[in-house]
Amino acid sequence: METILNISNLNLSFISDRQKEESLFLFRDLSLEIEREKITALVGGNGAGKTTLFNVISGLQRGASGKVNFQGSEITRLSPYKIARLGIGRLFQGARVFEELSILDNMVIGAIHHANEIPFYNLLFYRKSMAFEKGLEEKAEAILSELFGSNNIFWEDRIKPAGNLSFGHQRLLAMARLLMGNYSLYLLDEPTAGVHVQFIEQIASAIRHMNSHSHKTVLLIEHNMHFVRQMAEYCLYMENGKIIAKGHPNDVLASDQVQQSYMGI
Amino acid sequence: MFLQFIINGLITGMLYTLASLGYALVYNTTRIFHLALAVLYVVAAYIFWHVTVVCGFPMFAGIFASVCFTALLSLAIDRLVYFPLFKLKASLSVVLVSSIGVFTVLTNLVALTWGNEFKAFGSDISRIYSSGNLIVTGKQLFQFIASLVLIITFFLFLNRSKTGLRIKAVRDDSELYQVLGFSLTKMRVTVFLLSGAMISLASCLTAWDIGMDPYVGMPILLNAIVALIIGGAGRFESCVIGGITLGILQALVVWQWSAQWQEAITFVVLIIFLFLRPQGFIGEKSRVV
Amino acid sequence: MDFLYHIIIMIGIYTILALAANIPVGLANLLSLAQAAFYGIGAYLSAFVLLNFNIPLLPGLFVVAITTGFFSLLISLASIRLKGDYFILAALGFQLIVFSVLYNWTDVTKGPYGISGIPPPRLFAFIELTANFQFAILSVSLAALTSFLFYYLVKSPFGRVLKSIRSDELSVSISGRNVYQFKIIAFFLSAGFSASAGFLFAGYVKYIDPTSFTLDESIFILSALFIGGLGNVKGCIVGAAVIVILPELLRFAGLPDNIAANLRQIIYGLALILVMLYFPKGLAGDTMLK
Repeated sequence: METILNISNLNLSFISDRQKEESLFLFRDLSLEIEREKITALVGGNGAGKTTLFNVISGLQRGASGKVNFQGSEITRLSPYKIARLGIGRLFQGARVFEELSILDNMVIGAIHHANEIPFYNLLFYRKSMAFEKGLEEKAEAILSELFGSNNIFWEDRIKPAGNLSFGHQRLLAMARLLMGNYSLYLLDEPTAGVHVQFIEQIASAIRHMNSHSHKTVLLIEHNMHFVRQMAEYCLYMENGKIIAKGHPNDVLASDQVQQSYMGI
Repeated sequence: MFLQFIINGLITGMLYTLASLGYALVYNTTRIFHLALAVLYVVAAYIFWHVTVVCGFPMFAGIFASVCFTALLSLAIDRLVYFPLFKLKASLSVVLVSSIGVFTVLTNLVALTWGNEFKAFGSDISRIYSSGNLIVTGKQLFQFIASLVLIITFFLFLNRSKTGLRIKAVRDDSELYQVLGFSLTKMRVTVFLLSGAMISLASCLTAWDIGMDPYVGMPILLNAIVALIIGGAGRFESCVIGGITLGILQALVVWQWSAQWQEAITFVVLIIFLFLRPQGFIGEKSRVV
Repeated sequence: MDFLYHIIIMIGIYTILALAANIPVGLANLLSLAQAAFYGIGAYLSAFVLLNFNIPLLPGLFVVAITTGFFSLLISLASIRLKGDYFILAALGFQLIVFSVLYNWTDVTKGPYGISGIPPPRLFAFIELTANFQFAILSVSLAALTSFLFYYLVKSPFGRVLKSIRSDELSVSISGRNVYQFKIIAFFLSAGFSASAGFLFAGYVKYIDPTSFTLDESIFILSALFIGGLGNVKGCIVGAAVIVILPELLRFAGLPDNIAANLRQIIYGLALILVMLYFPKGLAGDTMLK
């Protein structure tokens, strides 16, 4: 088995400002490995530290000790944008589309940094810039039609602001935008949370698309256990800042330990 | 000489503290960047001047009139501008820009009403108290005692009275405050009235000594804001710590260099604090998202 | 006729200033209260360049704009480190410090006396721009050039990133953009544009003093921007025209000068409040302050 992400001995604690002596440990010697080209689910109760772990991986949470290795290079203290450029894409909780930008612009901005974004580049190299933009638009169209069919509302309403979309549609757009980035590892934070049932199948197909079409690795936080069983090939159970169980989703979710702590049975 | 400057700085600092408390009452509870407070300071001074110098009432009547008028005007600004924006869920920047608008309108109304020129209170000969090289004027002594009494009263009110405790509760968590069944709208009334009263007292005490024109408000307010920030935004004690620190620091700048660099040094200190210690002396570190 | 040229020149200057403010404020939603500081630094540098060097207009303008741009690093650094009202406060502090330096550093800036006798800029080393109509042409061309550049900026992928920073900074950096770099460039351009307005102003009035570059001036520039509307060229031109023409109308109405001055401030103030409350997009804007 080949790993893409390797976290070893991660420690993170907060010192409460009011009571200086009391500190809160979020991670204690957390280690985990994520297998390449697989869908792994990260489950656990609220406050277990799942989102914080994502924040550490994507460089948004500072102050953790330990090592995070991605495709053989250490990314522990890199800026978020550098980590993204190395190939880790992240879906936040909530809608998180650029509401004032058009749907198409939302898609195009998902593609990673390019020379085109130098100010006045479009003035100096008009043709080149336009050709580049056109390429991105075509890519956006391809992704949207592959995910949502050829007459999808996203492409049809592409010049309308993304803020007009319903929450579920915004969520789908955020997923599609992530595909523009050609990441090798996708971190998805609760892709189905708060989304109407009718969209869940589309979200699932977007995740499968990430995984099987382009052979990318997916790590997802999810509370919908049905969804986890359906999607994930591997499952990590996290509690109190530690991974306490791992393996096939059915086995992990069926284990006594997890049943006790999570389901409260 | 050094001690003289410290004493002058202390008295200035206590006046800053009063102004800073006026600002903190609004800022700590509503997060409004209340620049219009600068013009309330000016309005307060002019009402005081008008009632005492023009109409010839005694000083305390002037202060009373000024406090009442300023408090009501403060409330009116909230009702007519801030509160509607709050209802519209406007951002803090939008509220700030509207506050600048209020400031501009009222400053120029004051200028139209009372003129642009400098106004002073009659030169009733002030007694001078001296001991060795130290000189304290009667007005300064009055400023010192009055602001000390006001500051102590304010903190007694804040920590002992029901309303004071509620103000602190809103500061800590305004959403929780509402969830517990209290009305934020009523609280705004209290806070704006108190803030207006506080800035009016700061203004009367200062203007009585050094006079005023329609444009004195902004520099004082900026000092008050800087005092709050270096003390630590979000608390009220910080106004005292920050205000007195700032007053003494400025006095020392005057002593060592010259008065003209006071303002620049003040803002250099502010920027240093914002970058290196944004929580101020006693504030709490705000959590990163 | 000179009166008309004066109006045109001033509209040109304020159009440039409003466009400059529009980059951080309108696109990236960074409410900068330091715009008059850049304007002032630009004007003083221009006076220095025009008085001491015999260089033609365009290279002179370029040097001034770039040098002022470097001063903007102080503000962009603040916009990176500080969030929300703390950034606004830092920018305000910067504005007041710059004014204080211009006012008090008498050895270099001549303090409150100001710098007088600034020679007119020269086009291509031989045409001296002295007549007002020449300046009007220069002002309109510079405003047109700035509008043109701004237009391309808004439409460009660069502008798109700024607009997304306005919406959700974290999502932008997680999409592989160095947000800091974008903020630095935005303020650099803003300062450079403001400086070119300062160049025009210094060359036109031939006398500058610190009172033209106060916090009030910053507020005045932002008034032009908010009254006109954010996010496009049209709003800036409309806003600049309104704030330049309005006081002249009051003068025509026969009000004495001192009353007219206060009255026009009252109108700007009211306009700001009304725009914030009822017309967040101003007279001709695309977006609103967030």
